Amino acid sequence: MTAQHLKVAMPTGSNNEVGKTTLYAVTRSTEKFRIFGRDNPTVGLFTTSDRGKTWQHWGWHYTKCFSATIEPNSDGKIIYLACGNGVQKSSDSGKNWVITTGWEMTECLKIAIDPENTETVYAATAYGIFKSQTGGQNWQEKNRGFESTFTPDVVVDPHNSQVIYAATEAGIYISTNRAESWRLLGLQGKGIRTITYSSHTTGTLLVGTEDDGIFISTNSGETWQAINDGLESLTVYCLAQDPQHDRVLYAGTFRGGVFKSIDGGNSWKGCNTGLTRLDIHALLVDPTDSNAIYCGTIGGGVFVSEDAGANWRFGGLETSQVWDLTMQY
Amino acid sequence: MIIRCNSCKYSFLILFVILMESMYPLTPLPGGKALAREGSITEQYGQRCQQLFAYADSTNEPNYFVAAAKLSRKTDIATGVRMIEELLSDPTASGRGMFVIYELMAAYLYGFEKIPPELRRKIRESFRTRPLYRGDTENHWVMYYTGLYLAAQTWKGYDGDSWYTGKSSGENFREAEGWLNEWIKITTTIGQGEFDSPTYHMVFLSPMLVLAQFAEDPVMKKRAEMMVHYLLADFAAEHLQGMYCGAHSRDYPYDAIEPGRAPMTGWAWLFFGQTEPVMRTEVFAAALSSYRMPEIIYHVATDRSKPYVHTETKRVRNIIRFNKQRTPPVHKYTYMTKNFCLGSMQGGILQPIQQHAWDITFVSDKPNNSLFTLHPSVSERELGMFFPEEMKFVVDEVARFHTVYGKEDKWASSSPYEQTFQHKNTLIVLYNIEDGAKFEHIDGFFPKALDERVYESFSRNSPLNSRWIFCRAGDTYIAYFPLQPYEWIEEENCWRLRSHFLRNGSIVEVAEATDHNSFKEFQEAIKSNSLDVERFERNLEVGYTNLAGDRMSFTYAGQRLLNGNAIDFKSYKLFNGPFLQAEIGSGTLEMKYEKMNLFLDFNNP
Repeated sequence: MTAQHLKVAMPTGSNNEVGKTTLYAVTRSTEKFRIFGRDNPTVGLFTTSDRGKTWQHWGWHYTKCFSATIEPNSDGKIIYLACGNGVQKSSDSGKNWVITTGWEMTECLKIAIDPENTETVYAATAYGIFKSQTGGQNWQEKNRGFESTFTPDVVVDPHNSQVIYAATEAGIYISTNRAESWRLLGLQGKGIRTITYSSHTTGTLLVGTEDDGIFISTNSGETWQAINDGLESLTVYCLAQDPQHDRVLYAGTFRGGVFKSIDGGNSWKGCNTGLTRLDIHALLVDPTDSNAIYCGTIGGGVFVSEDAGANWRFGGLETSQVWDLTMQY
Repeated sequence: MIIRCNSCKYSFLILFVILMESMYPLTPLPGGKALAREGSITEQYGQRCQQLFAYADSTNEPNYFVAAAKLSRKTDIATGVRMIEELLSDPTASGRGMFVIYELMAAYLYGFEKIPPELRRKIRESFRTRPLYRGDTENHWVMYYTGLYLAAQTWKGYDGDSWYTGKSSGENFREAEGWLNEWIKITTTIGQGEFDSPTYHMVFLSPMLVLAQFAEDPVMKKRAEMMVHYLLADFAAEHLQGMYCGAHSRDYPYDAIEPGRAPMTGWAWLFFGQTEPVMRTEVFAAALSSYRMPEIIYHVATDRSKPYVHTETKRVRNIIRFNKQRTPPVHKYTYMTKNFCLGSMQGGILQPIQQHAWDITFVSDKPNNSLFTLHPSVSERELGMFFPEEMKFVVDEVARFHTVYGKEDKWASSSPYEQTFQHKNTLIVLYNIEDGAKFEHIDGFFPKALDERVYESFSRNSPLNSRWIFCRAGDTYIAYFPLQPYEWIEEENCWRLRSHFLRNGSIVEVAEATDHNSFKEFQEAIKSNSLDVERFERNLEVGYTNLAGDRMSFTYAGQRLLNGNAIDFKSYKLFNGPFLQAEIGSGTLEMKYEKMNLFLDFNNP
């Protein structure tokens, strides 16, 4: 499992037709974009079980939603959405939703769940990290140690859930006490957009940045190395690792499309054949089929590759800004 | 009478109406002197309300407030019911949740007796089945939480399955109450964030009026009433003949160049009565209610017999990136006379997108009663400061909604390269535009409505005093000294002064015509003033002695010196002027006018 999947899914053997997977897409807006979500009925959470041929909407239509996280071992029943309104939670696979947060939390961007104790949930927001130890019923602000509280991503160390990583606009931060306090781990001053913990190698982290490309650490973040050879855009919104092949990585960029590395990030090559939008905000490798890659574009919906990124076809949600993709398998 | 309901911008906002006296007897307001006791001012207010009601009776366009008016006044119950049913089925209502929720509750509560039981059940059911978006600005949250507060108060004891939020009535109520109290506290201690907007001030007033009318908790009811006083007083001190003057956090370009047609003019008309009856339908929120403005606020808004300086502290909208201070203070300076207002805030990015940093607003019988300059700034950094969206494409996204945002000729802008220094009727504005900024020019709005515009060709070799541009607008004289060469671009409603220099700026002095024998004499007097611009090119430093003999020295990113003394913004109060006084952190506002006074204490409502 990739770190991305650690955040979201466990096998279910559910009723999927292709690869026994369900893809979840969170769309932020469409061409009818309104900054506050007005007149915009096609936003929110969608799922497909046939690789993008058909989609089903779940939950609120008119909302500002940034990402979805599925609770491990919940069989896809428990879903968290990080939204402008706060954190929404469904305990019945998306049929009904509760706003778990009050007025104190807004502009929530990402959710991470402690795999050892799924009642412990972290929300990365525009105002910092919030933590719940009650499955979202109560939240506490956990920003001690941050220089900047704009945190677009948060990841729980899959091998030690005491350790949490947070992406901030001022570098990557680490907490070794379940978010009670934070310290700068590295990449000071760089806007970190996304964090991926390697599913193959303990202590290996990859981050995508606002303007500085991709960095890798193989020692749990103590040192970092830029790995941008061949990368034509240094704004990296998303990263994905092939769950079967540890050297195969994918990066989604602003204006550059998708890049693929087959040597662990030492070199990158664009793989955009068939992509009609090159602003990529979400990437996912099907954990059951390394050839099946999904990308969410800004304004162009979802694209699907069934040959490991060599070619892409349109996968639905036309004109949508697809901010996040995740999978239940 | 003109009724405006700008459907493209405010199809969501709309109005409401009702003859409140029949259902809700007048009640004295906390600490205030009810206008109902005052005779002519009250009578005039009542007449204007009747004009609004006449409009409500005449229209069949679906609107919650019109529906409320028809139902509560029993003028057309069938149409009122139909309107609510139609609006309830609007498929776009969820995304506009913050606007819909308090309007719907207003209609429900005002029209309750005449709403059939089946429609009442539908309204209740809508709060279970239809999610309502909270929005992401201060006015959104005031509207949203006002509506949620009233809904939770109305349907007590329901569990989470009965609400779109998934929370029980009690949980919804406590959340709404908590935020409303927090907003009131912040506003009355460190200042409003979305402040003094000729457009958006009304969507603070309107929900507060509904809350004041219907909150069952006497403390919340009183606080809401006091907030209406507070917001109206805030407006009144910077009001001139129906116009919201000076600097604004948010102003639409078309309102910036025509302040007499901005939405708040409708509120000015209803409460202060100094304009033609150009109404906004949103003001029905006031006309319907039992709220009566304390008389002192009327006088604050209308007595311009003596010029005055009024300063305020507001706050920047929450900054989420690129600043360690979440809500830095905004320092406003306003100089008001009988015929003009010169107002400014210190400059820099104080609000996103629609900032209006300074202007002269003047009384005239012609349109376009303002004159100002700006740098048309466009940057992902600016938007990234305030919006969580990705900075690389948020500029394009914002430009889809605010279509002028990315344009070089826009008339609203928050520029990081603009700073001001004002003393009474004199202003120095300096620009230090970064090389490579998207637009490297400044623009000045000089309306065609000016009665006179006198200038000589700008030449670096010509005497300094020949560079002045003199304008006459009614009984207002304006002197404008450009610090760099410029060109005039004639447009439909203005002469655009455009100057293509990165280091730029101007000195502005404004005067009442009655203070001078003639426009010519004013020009000659200004020309004899002391100007020191020798260090401008090198140090961005300017010195000027105005007609009153006050010496102003201003260095960009440096000191503001008045007669050798440094201006210290830290000394700014929340409100400081002859009419309004409030200390930072006080939670109070003291109003004074002649022998009248009104003290609002939000700590002990």
